[in-house]
Amino acid sequence: MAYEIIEKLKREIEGYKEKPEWAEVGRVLEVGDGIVKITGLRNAVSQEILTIETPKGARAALALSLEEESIGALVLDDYLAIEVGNTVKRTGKVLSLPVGEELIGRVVDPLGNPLDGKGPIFKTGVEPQRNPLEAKAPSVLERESVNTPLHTGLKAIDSMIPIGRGQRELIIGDRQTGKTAVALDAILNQLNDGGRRTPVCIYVAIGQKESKIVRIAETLKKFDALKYSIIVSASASSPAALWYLAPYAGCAIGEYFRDKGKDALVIYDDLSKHAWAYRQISLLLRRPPGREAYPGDIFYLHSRLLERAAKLSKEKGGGSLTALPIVETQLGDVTAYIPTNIISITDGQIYLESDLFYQGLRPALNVGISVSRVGSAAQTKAMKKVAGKLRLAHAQFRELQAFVQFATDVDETTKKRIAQGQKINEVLKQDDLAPLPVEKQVCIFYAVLNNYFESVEVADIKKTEAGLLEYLGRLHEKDILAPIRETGEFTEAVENKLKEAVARFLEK
Amino acid sequence: MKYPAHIYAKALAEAITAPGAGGDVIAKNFQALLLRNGDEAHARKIVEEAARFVRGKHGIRKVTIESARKLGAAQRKIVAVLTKPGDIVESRIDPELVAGIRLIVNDELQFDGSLKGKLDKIFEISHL
Repeated sequence: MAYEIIEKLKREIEGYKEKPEWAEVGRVLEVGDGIVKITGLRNAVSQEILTIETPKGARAALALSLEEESIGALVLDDYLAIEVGNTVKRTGKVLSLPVGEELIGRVVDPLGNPLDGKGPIFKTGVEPQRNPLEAKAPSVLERESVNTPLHTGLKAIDSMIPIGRGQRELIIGDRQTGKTAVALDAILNQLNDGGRRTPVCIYVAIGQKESKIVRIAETLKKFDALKYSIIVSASASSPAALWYLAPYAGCAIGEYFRDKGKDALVIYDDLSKHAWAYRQISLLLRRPPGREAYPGDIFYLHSRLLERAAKLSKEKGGGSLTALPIVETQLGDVTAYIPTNIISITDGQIYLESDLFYQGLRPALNVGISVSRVGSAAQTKAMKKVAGKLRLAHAQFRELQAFVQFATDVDETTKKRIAQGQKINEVLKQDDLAPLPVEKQVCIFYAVLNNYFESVEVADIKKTEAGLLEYLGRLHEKDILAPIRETGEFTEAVENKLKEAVARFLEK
Repeated sequence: MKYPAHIYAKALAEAITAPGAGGDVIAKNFQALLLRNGDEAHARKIVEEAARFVRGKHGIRKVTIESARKLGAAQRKIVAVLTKPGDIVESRIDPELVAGIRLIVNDELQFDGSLKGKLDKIFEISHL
């Protein structure tokens, strides 16, 4: 057997023909902290992969800074093996990663290598498609307006800050305010969103703890959501190079599905850490620091990434790539450099507030400064019809609530409004990992906004809500829930049936 | 560094190639300048760069020949054909090449005819 293998290898080696050629080379001038300075390679292009020949084997680097006399490159492998004077060669290739359906259900690093111990992603012998990490965003002609909803399963978001497929909606807030939980619920809810194509969900972890990434993978598995999800992990222990590349890798994977006419959702958790990594790389490359020591192109770093999220026109297959970037603020300061940049790039923001979180309002959404600039066009008619006045009612309640703290005598109408506001607040509260299908949300909002819960105590709202949903699911699946889910409309006939059903339930 | 290496190098190259320039005086003055500016640690880099400027100005090539062992008469003949009069030829022995030679011109172009280079190419596994 061994003899046969040796003979086979010999035949292959003998048959090997190589045409020796002149190659451009450079030399390593400086090395440190994952960055190398190289002389030579005058014709190297930006984002080109370079090979550094070290005594311990070849190491890959990414050309980032092309200067008059040298090239600044980002080492993608172990940089400790690189020595000053090592030869550097061009590859003529730009950074790309293998993409395909096989990635679904897997955990990969930003270079496409598996991290989940499930073995190779692609079958041997089959050359998978490779997508470049840096790609041009679709042009105006290739796009169409956002017109299909992407339900998160969170009542507060789907009713007041609707997200459409192809939109870029920022999730912003301090640490421990539930930003990742919102994103995770959005992934889990895609199973509930019957009647629509299930988007492929890509969770990009940038600088997150390994334990958190494992927890997220386990949660997705537990809720059967891993079958349409991909995790791109650049954990806290990875070098800054991988933190920097991770969002682009996630986006390149998402683009594969978008260009195939499918829907994809990509979550960048989080872009503050991505900006830190880029700041570190830029400072090591000795680029001039600007505000908060970030380099001058920090805005372009994020705008070129988020521009790749799009709803494609029918001629281009009608696919979509929705982006939910996450940004962490410090002490609620949304006016810091990175938050303001990303707020201005995205199509709206979901602002989560620590105070609300500690008051028990979860998701801790600040309705006042949260907004969706394009999503309302994609909101289902049923939700629009039922919850259209929710934002106004909620704002009025918050104003009144502040006012009655100082007022001694309050008239009956105001009292009623406050009571209704408190009930709306209760309805908007939602447990972690419990996304609610949109048809059920419509029914609950209809009941609370039309004062059906007038006689219910605030403390009993959650119990009543759960009871009503259970009642509707058991007895009115076909005549109320299914029509809303399938048509997205809230017809008069359905409304009448819902009125009767709610009245009957409350009588009990 | 007070000035970038290529600026120092350009100044040094121009001073040294100027008609009537005294090499020793220029070298001493340049050393003093680097000491004054606290840039003496980068002297080697600057001198290499200056040498490149001078070579470029006069069309002189630097040819580095790397081989696994000392070149024989026949191999030296081949090398002589590849180089031209005026070229600065440097020879280096690198046993890691196993066999064959590697030619490097002006530190920028390389012809790898070594066995090591061929083996590396056969077993090249790229994940990027």
